[in-house]
Amino acid sequence: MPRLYLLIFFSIISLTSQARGVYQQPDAFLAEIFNNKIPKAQFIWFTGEVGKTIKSILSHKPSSLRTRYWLQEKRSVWILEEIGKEKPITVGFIINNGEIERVKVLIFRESRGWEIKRDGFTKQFQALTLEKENQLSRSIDSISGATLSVNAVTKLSRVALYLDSQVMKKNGA
Amino acid sequence: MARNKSSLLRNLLSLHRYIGLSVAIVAIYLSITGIMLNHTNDLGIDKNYINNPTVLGWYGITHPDSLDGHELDEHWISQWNDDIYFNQKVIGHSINPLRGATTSKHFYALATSEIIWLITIDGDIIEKLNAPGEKLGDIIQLGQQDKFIVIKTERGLFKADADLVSWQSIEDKGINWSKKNTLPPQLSAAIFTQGHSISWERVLLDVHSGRIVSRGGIILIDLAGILLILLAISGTIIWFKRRHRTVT
Repeated sequence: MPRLYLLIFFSIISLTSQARGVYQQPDAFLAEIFNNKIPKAQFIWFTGEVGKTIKSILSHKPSSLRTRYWLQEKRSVWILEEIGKEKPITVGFIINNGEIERVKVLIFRESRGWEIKRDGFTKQFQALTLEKENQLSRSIDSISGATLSVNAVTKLSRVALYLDSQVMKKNGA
Repeated sequence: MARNKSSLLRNLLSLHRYIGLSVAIVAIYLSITGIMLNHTNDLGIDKNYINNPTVLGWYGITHPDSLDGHELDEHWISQWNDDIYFNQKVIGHSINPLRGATTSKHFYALATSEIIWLITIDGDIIEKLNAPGEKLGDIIQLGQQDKFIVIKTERGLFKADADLVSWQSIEDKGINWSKKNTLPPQLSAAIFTQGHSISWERVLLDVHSGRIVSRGGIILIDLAGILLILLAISGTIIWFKRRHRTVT
């Protein structure tokens, strides 16, 4: 019986210890995606229509005036941040030909809602596109106890798809 | 026998009444604070912070006489309680220490040990860069050389290009390092006044548990809890006894 209690105790400790933290450094994420040949970063400013659209997606003013992205042919990579409940969650997005190729939670600073880092959650975003009124082409299943974190990642995925569309439009794709 | 039972019931009723009267106020108090705690988010008290020095004093929170910061033209960049300030305005949060602030070609820049913040002359954030991150090591000092951002890390000195996209290793020549200075007293005072440290949710939690008045409060709430349990037990026994008497 004491062994069972110890097992439960250490399982709880292990679960809470994996909650917060840096799952992958943004640099390492980029190096992995581009096989260590990271293209030069470019910028998109959140001014004019772009700023207005992002504000409407996030339901608040963006926390910065510009963001950087990495582009290789029709594949763009975005590292974006949004607050879940109190602290920003850093998420990496790969958009390929207007579709989400991959979503990865890079840094999670909140005390609750870390379950969004699981592959089971992030895989829901694969192949999603942006539809009318900047909505995702399919709805995302929420996670009990992680609603605010799920909302943050969902909003960021819409932002990433929208920004990718703007970059592609600018590049004449 | 019947008289004994009746006397026991009377005593129990009397006990129940006195316990009820003595814990009534505490029960109302616990219920109100408990309901409020269930709705801290809706009431907005989880994000509402205390400025009152008396309440802060209960928590042993004091502040130094003055605050250090970095002067940029006529502006001051400082850090207090994990908040980064542009003059009096909170522009962000960082648990890592502020390493410096400097001017560059097109914007102001400030750095914590892991992040470089580019800000406008009005204190709006242009961009926060996680770079150079693990590639160049944690930032120890921030400066500029010919208006280009320079950082000192555990791995040496590095100079950024105009957009902070690439970094090159440099020698320690002609670098204007950001220096700490004492903020003007009025600015320090303003930051201390508005610098939040404890939310009203935390105070409410301590009011609910009795911790707000230290040990005595905790004992009082514990006692009230025990009395409430006794109240529930005595009430149930009385109900059963009366029910039994009515049936027989």
